[in-house]
Amino acid sequence: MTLEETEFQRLVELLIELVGKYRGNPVALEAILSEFKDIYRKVPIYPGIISILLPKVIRAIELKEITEGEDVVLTLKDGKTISGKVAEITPTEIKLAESHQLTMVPLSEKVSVSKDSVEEAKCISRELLAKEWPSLNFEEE
Amino acid sequence: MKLSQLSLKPGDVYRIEGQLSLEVKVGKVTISGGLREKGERVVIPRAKSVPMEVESDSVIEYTLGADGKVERLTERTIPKEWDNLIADVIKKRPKTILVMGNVDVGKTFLTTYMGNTLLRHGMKMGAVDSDVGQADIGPPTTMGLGIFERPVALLYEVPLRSAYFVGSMSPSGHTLEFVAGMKWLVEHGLKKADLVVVNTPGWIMGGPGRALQLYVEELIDPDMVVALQRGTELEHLLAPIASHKIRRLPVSTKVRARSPSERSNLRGMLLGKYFEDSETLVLDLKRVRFERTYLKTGHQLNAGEFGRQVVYAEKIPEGIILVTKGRMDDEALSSIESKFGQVKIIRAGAEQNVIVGLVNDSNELVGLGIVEKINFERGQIVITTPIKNADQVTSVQFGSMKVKPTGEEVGTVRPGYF
Repeated sequence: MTLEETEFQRLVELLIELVGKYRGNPVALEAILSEFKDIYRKVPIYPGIISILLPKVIRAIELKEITEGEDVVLTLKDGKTISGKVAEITPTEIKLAESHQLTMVPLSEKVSVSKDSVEEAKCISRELLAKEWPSLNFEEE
Repeated sequence: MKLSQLSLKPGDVYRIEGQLSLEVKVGKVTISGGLREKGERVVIPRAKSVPMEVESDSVIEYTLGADGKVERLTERTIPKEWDNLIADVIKKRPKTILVMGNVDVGKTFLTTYMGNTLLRHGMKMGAVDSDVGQADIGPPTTMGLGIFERPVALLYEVPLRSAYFVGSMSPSGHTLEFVAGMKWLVEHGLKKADLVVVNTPGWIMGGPGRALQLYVEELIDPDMVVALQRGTELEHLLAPIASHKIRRLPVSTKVRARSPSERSNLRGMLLGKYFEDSETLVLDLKRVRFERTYLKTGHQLNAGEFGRQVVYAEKIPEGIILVTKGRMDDEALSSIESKFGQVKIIRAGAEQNVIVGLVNDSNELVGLGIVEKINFERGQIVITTPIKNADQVTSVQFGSMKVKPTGEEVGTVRPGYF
């Protein structure tokens, strides 16, 4: 059968799509994952409903449509991402409360880290299917 | 190869291991519970071993091939509880028996032993084999029904009477086909045999595994549930079942476990053997139905209206299917989406190597095939298959594995893609 046996398939694909779309926007990702966690905990048996709702977490909006009290993520022309709650709107500015600026700062090729400064270390493993289940590591379509 | 002779006494027990060819010259022995008398020959292939028990003063002649062995044992390998169960079956005449057990506990051998022993008592047993990865009855990706009409040393010698296409090497993500298939095979088996024994998959833990076992039991409603277990590993599955139905059996002492790579190689070998004499079969899309896919379930639209890349278009209730030769631009896609809803894009050629079941008008599986191509322009599906007669195929059931005719697994189909 090539039909989906459950709606979780659609949900997984949606999450992959959203992670790809907002890869450089940690605020958007955090909002999506936090909503996902919240909705899933309430209706874990309805993945189809989660799939309908998740794409609505982040929506594009014109500056003129932003209203006070809304949670927004603003991507600036210099590449910075700023998030916060809209406290005030003036003809030339949007003033944010509870705001954060998120940036991924690329470092030079070699970086020295003092061992004393490390609180915790985690190792990243990739290509796990090839390593642990090689017979299923098919060519990607 | 050297011919050897062996004189046997009643009650003697041997383990015979392939490659081996054996002939009973005098007396009676049982092999896997099946009675073999003077003049009967038995061949055991390499890497398989079965018990031989001597019924009367006998003489056998045998030749050993690679790794072949005849080993005398000090005691029976078949637990007495197995014989007690069979005695009970002869007495109570149940119609359906469900055999549960983890992988590598010997469900296949128990089935073989039961089928052979019941045959000696005039009962014809049907066996449903649900090991879709390396089915003994029927090719991989199917569940098979076989009927014991003569004694067999190994389950795969039981002739296939019906098969149900699952389309995968595992029940994961295919529990609906499993449940439907088991019911279908049991019903067919009961028309041809006195009783049907169903071997359930060795997926006994976790939600989906529990659910599969539970609903198979509920749907088939067997007269007996045989729990073949080493310890108490099946007790969680037995808890909801009426206790008078349950028979707990210990595992035979000579069960051999297969490693994952051994299983994978065996699957490939069995599938390759199935497709050995395959040829190309061309089916007319106007004549054959498609099953278990979105394709050909709606109404066809004029592909040309959707751009040059589109070779096939079909309106379905969920939206629209477009089979495309190249990438479509986002603007065109969003315009189609606003008119038709969800757009399901299928890359032309993505269907290559998908395993399919070929079914006749009575919904019987005629054989397996591997899709070479769906030629939408010509209205044809081109399939590699050992089935020679296109007329007997009225429906194509899509599976979710991609394989080559050599038996090599080359991919999977993303659920919902077609």
